[in-house]
Amino acid sequence: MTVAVRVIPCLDVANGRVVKGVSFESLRDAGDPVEAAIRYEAEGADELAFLDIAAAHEKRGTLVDLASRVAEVLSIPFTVGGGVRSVEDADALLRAGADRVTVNTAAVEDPSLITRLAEQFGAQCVVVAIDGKRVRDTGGLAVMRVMTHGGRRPTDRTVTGWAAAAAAAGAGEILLTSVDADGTQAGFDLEMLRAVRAAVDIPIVASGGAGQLDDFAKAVVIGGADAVLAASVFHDRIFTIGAVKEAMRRVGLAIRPAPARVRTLLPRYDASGLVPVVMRDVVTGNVLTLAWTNAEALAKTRETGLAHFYSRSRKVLWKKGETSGNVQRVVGISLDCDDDTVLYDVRPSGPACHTGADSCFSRVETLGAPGEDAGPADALDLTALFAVVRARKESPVPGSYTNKLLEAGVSRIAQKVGEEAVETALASVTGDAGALAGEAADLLYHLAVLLTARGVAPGDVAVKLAERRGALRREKP
Amino acid sequence: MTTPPRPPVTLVDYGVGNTASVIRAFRRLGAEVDFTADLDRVASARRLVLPGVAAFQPAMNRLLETGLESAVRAAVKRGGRLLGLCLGFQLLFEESEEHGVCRGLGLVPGRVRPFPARVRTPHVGWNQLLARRPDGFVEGLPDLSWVYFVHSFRPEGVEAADVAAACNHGGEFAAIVQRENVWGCQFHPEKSSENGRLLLSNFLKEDAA
Repeated sequence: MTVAVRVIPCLDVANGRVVKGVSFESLRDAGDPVEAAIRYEAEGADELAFLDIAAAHEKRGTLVDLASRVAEVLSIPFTVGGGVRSVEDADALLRAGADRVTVNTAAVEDPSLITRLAEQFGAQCVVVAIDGKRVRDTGGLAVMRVMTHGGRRPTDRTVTGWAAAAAAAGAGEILLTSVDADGTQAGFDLEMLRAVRAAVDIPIVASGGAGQLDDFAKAVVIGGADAVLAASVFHDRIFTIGAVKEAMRRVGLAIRPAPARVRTLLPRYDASGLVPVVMRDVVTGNVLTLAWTNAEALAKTRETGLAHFYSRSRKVLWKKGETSGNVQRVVGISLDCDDDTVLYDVRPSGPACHTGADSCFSRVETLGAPGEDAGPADALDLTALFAVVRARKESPVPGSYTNKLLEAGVSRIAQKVGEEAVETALASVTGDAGALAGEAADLLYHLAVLLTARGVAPGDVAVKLAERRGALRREKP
Repeated sequence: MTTPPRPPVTLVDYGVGNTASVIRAFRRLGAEVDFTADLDRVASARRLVLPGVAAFQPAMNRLLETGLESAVRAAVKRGGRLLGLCLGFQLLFEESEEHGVCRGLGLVPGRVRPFPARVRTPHVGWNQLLARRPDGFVEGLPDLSWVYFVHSFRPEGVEAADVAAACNHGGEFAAIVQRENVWGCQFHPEKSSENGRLLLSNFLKEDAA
C-alpha cells in the first residue's frame, strides 16, 4: 500500500474561461472551468491544475474569482498558477479556496519568494513550476535550461540546478514541463524527469508530451514522477482519466479508482446550449425518440423524474406528455463516451410519438434488393409468443396444448420447463445447431407458459434483464 | 428531499490558512457554520472544528495568546465533540518536533514527528485508510478507503485504542484518532470527495442514545 500516483488534468484559463490554442494569439474559448472541474472530479481526477496563461495581460481578480467558483463545487484539491508574483497573490488564491499555488517566472527572478511562501503557508502549498528546454551551449553541448515567460525566454539556470535550489528554498513539489516534449505527443521527457528525480527528493509532477496511454506509466516507472499532468489529451477526450489510471494499474502502479457513484453527469452542450437526448424504453429496449435538452430541462427532469426537453422550434422548455398525458418516467440517465449525447431510460405511460405510435422510429426502410432473402432474423422478439399464451389463458381454446398445460397447473408446467431445459442442454453438446434451436424454442415456449401461469409479466423479466445489464441506474435520493 | 436538522458547526478562527473549503464542505452537508474567535461561543460549542494549514508552533502560540486554547478545552470538558483537521489534528497531541519541540493541547497521548529521512516528504496525494474500528467517525467507511493527504509530520506513539484508522507512508501512522469526544484526522476530508463527505457527516451525527 502506498500513496497513489496522481492524475491531474490541467485547465488553461484566460479571463475566467477555459481556453485552447497553440499560441496566445490563436486562443479560443473552450468552456466554463467550473463545469469542466465537476466533470473531471466525477471521472476520478485526483487533483486539478488551473494555469492562467493570460496572467500578464489580465487583471488578477478574475483568477481569484475563478478559484472561488471552483472551490464552491469541488471536493478534491486544486492548484492555481500563472502570474503569482507575491505572498499577497498566493494568499488571495488560497483564501479563495485553492489548495496550493504554482510559481514559475517570479520564483526564478527572486528565489526568496519560495521561502516566503513556504514560511507563510507551509511547503506543501508551494509548487514550483519549471519549464525546461535543451539549449546548445557555446561548446555545442545540449544543456537543459530553465525557460521563463511561458517557456519562451531562456535563463542561465540549469533545470537540475534550479530544481535543487527550489527544493532547498522550501518548495513542496516540482511541476516539470519539458518545452521540448510539450505538444509533440511523443511521450513525457523521461531524460529530463530522471535528471530532476536525481536532484530532488520532493514530489515531481510530469508534464508535457503525453500522447499514448503507456506514456503516463513510463513517466512514473522510468521518469520517477509522483504525479502526471496533461491538458489537451483530457480536454479533447483522447483519453479519459479512467483509461489513464487503468493503464497504470495494469503495470502495478497504485491508483485511486474513480468514485463508484457519479452523483450527476454533466453533458457537453453545443454552442446553443443544447444536447440531444435519446429516449429508450427500459423494458423493451426500444428506442422511442430523439429530442433536445438544455441544462434547465435536464435539471427539471432530475427534479421531477419525468422527461423534460427543450423545443428548438418553439424555443421553450416542455414536459413530454404535457398535452397528450403520455408522460415518460425517467429511471436512468446515461451519458455517451464523449459527453455529447444523453440517454434517458424511461417507463412510458403511453405512446412516445405524436402520431400515436409507441416509437417515433416506426417507419422502416427495406434494405437490400427487392426479393433478396434477408436471411434469418438476428433478433428474438417474444412479444407475439407471450401475447398468444396470454390470449389462451384469458379465452381458452378447446384442444389447445397451451390450455392443457395451464389446466394441469404450475407444478406440471415447471416440470416441463425442467425437461425442456435438460433437452436444450443435451442438444447443445450432442445435436446440430438446428436441433439446439428447436429445443431452445420449446424451452422458451414452456417458460412463457410458466410465467403466464404464475402471473409474471414479460415486462417483469425485461426489467430484471435491464438491471442485469446495468441499464437501470436509479439515482439514490 | 428532507435533510435532518444538523447541529451548528463552530469553526475556530485563529488565523491559520485556508478554511474556506472546510466551511463549504460543512455547508454542503446542510450544517450551519459559525467561524468565530469568540471565546464563549467556542467554549459552548457542541460540534467544534479546529482547522489548520500552517506551522505547529505559531498555531499553538495563537491559541494560547487568544485564550482559545482554554475555550477549546472547556468545550471538550463540557462534552462538545472536537474535530482536529490536518494541523488541527496534530495540535491534539502532547507535543510536536516541527521547528523545535513545542507543546500541544495534549488531549490525545502521542508526539508529532517528521517522516523518516528516506520517505518521500511531503506526503502529498491520495492514500488508503486501514480501518481499526467500525463506528463513530468512521462508521460506514469501507476499509482501504482513499483520502487526500498533504503533510510532512505525523503522530507517533498513539495508543492503539485511540486509532480509528491508520495509513501507511514509510510505516503506519495514526490517520484518524477518536478518543471519547476528541476526534481528528491527518488528511483533508473536505478534499477527499465522497469518503470525506461521509466522515464529516458522521461528525455531525447525534450520539447514539
